[in-house]
Amino acid sequence: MNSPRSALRRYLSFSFAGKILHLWLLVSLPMVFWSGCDLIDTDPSPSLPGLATIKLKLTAEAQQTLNANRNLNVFVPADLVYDYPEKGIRERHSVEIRNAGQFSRRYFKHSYRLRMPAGRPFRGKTILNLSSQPTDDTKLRSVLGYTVLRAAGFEVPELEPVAVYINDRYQGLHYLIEPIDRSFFDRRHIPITALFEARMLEARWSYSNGFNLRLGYAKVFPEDENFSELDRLIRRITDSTPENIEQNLASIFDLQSYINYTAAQVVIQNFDSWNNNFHLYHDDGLNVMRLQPWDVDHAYDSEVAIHPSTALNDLIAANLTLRQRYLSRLLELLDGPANPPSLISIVWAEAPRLAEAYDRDPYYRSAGKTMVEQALELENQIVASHGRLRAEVVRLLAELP
Amino acid sequence: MKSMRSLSRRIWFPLLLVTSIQLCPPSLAQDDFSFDGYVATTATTVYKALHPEIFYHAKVEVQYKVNKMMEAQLELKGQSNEGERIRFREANIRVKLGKEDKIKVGNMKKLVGEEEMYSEEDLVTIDRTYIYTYISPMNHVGRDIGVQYVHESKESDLDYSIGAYMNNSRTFAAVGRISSAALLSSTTLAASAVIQNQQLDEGTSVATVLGNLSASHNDKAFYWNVEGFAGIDPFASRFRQLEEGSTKARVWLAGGKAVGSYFFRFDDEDHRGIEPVFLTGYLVPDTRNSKVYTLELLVGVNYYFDKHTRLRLNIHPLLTANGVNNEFSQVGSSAILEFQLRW
Repeated sequence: MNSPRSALRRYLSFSFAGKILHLWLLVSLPMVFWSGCDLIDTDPSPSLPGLATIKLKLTAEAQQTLNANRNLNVFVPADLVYDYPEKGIRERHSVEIRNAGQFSRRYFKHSYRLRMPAGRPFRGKTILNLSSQPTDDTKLRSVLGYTVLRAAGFEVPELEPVAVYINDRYQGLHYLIEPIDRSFFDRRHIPITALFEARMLEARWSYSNGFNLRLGYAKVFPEDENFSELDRLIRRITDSTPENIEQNLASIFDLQSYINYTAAQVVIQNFDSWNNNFHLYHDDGLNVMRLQPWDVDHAYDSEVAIHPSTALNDLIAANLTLRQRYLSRLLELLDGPANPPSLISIVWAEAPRLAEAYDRDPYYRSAGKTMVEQALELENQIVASHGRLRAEVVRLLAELP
Repeated sequence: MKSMRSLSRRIWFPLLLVTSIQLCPPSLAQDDFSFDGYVATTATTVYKALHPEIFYHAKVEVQYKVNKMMEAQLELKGQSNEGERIRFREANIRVKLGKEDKIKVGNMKKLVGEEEMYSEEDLVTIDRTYIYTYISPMNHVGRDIGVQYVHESKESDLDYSIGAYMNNSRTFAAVGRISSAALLSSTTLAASAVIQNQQLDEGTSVATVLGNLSASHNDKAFYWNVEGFAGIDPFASRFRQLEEGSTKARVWLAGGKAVGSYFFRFDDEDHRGIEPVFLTGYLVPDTRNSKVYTLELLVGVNYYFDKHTRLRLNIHPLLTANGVNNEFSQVGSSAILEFQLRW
């Protein structure tokens, strides 16, 4: 049996270096406490005015796993606090988080997917995207794009701007976005029996040039390898001519909805919407396949032709009746929900509340433009593209026989 | 039903592992397997956290000796405050090349710094120190998939290792470490470094480096370690590059820590005793602004009921200077109590 005294004697007999180290440790701790420093109450991840803040806490190991798997869908656990002081909301959730996106994974500002435990939803959902919208330097394009698409008659995802911190490091302004999955349709009482997602800029509308269906589409629901319904649609389009396209698709595809979709995407000048960023679902109520828009963060950032070239668009443009229907719908949207005054009023309703989160965003701060400057530029883009498009649509309608 | 399915999905692997070990043919002798791991219950309170937490966690590490030359290792860990998930942390194959050399292939730790040489349950502190926690998300330490060559000298006390790693974020890393217990009496000196190329942004990669120097002493009772780090923060560097419009911009971090403990043994037979632990650490996240730094302090005690079982308490203030005046924030400070059994 060793007595504490003999243990202490052994301890004191240790090396000179060891004793010096222990002396330093024993002295340094009280010295720091009594050195006169003031301990202050700081929140390292302060909430920002006008919008909710999401504060994610990950262990160092979980964060390393997340960082090391940017190109894989590896979930790691995280603690999430949703803080919206102006609405008196402060919620804590245990969630799982993974990297998300297709091409956006390449960008420094990351997007994430949040998965909540069954029965414990966050913002009413068990799956949510925390999208960085890396290519949208105004952070307003999705708001405008979905506004026009909703007015055009489409169901659009709920989206909410949020300031995001991960382990107290500010990650900038993100959007909480409802993903397109089966529950998206369930919440809207739309019965679906199949859901396909366009992917990787490869979703074509024809089998010409050796297109492989599985390269351009992923089956989201049910999770199986049955592509027969989509295969039938693409085959019918491939085999159609401008004269019989409407008749060929009548029993399997909502062509009017597609024309409406193309018109709305052209109005918002979103180039990234015909071979990427849409879903096709089988509406069990109507018993046809329909199009569901997704991800419109390129709205108003480029010039899109009146007739964007895809196999289906080419057939529509070559059919006089369908072409007239399409151009008329374009004009309706341009004069209706996409008229500049109403869109600009949305820009100036949103920009002020996003301003602080945006101006502090380390990703955009480097560009040297404030939220207000970006909003002004966006306003000019809306006016310019509307003027150009409307003049061309009026001219093309006048040229029709 | 759905949650049952989800649970079964999460626990299939450990069940399979245990079952396969039970059902393995007689030719796979029990001696071929070795198990390490721990079970612990932890209560923690973190400064400004909404609630204190209590949770349990466990780790199982299995090594299977296939033959004299080949060995497989895998490691599983679960933690109750992370849900039902079991994490599959490590899986690698070890090929022995003689008595002193081996090659490892698979997912494993990069051997950078003294602390990474120990499993977490074998540290004198409950958690890893702040500087390791800070650099871990940067991928300077922690696990990756790679190839590692290790030389552990039986005679000259000179050990070294080199490794090459990559991950699913298009990061490539090369790691080297050398240590000697012969240069300074009863003290092990080590140097290690990691060089990485991280593809952080569309078309832009950031090359980083981190170096570590360490001195340590470890015998049955007395442990001390002093180590220093200097290296590049890839994420802060990318932000600086964006701000300055130059891909050459880098943010350097520097820091160090000293930890010491002494085991006061009460009983020679059952390893009963008490072990006070002291730690101080210092980290400057950006050497261009050295007035902003974090000071880590820790006072702890480990009470050993026997060789395997210990009750541990860590009081762990973290003080971060704001660089403007004499004010320190206490964010990240914590107090942790843990009851641990390891084998």
